[in-house]
Amino acid sequence: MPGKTPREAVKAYLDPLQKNAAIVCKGVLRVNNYDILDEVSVLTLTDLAPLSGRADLLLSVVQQYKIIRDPQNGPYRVTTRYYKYAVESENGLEIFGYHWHPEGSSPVVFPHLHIGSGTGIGRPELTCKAHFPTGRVAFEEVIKFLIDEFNVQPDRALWQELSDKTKALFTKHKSW
Amino acid sequence: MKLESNMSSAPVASHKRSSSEGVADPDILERAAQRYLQMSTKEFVEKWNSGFFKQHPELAHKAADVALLLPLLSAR
Repeated sequence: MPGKTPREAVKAYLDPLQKNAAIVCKGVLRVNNYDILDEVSVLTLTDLAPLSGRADLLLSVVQQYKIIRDPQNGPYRVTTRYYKYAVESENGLEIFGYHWHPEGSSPVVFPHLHIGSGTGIGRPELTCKAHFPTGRVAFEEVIKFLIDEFNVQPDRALWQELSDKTKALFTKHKSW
Repeated sequence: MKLESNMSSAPVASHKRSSSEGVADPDILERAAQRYLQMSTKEFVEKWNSGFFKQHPELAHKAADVALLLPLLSAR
């Protein structure tokens, strides 16, 4: 997301994500860096957030990002270096999680889905170990998925409009 | 990922933060380490840097998730 200053770029990155999170939970997203360029930084929910209408499910969101120079579009923008969107049970077992970590120590560098032990599936090769390949997944897609498939009750009457709008922004500015 | 890694920086002009701009703080890392690994941030960092989790693959997935939050320890 571009901005005239690093801070503006971070706000342009954070605000749509927060608005989408607010559709399904009362969780608050925070970042740890508004100013410093090229540093691996974190966006995360301050706490696991119970999903609206499904208090038995907790949302976990973590992204790593960098503020970079983008003279053509910015002159600054935020680029995502990692994401994790996961849903856990109350007792801390992951049900599913969308991950992408192209620069970490893991040999798995493609976007993928984990099926967690919280599903109750008794196949250890599947639960947590298996990396189901996916394309890059937008946070907005996860929000829609939660509403459509997990009967999470959206807090905003206009959630569909907002989701489409922010997804269009993401598509416009993503770098791959 | 070592804690010391990824800490290179190119500072730009700092700005006064408004009261509406909360900042993610290291307490988030502490809560994650406690929830997923039942250990403190200090213990987690020591074990992460020593390679402890490579010898304990059953913990590797959770440890990797917690390690994502290590940049929260960067000084601001």
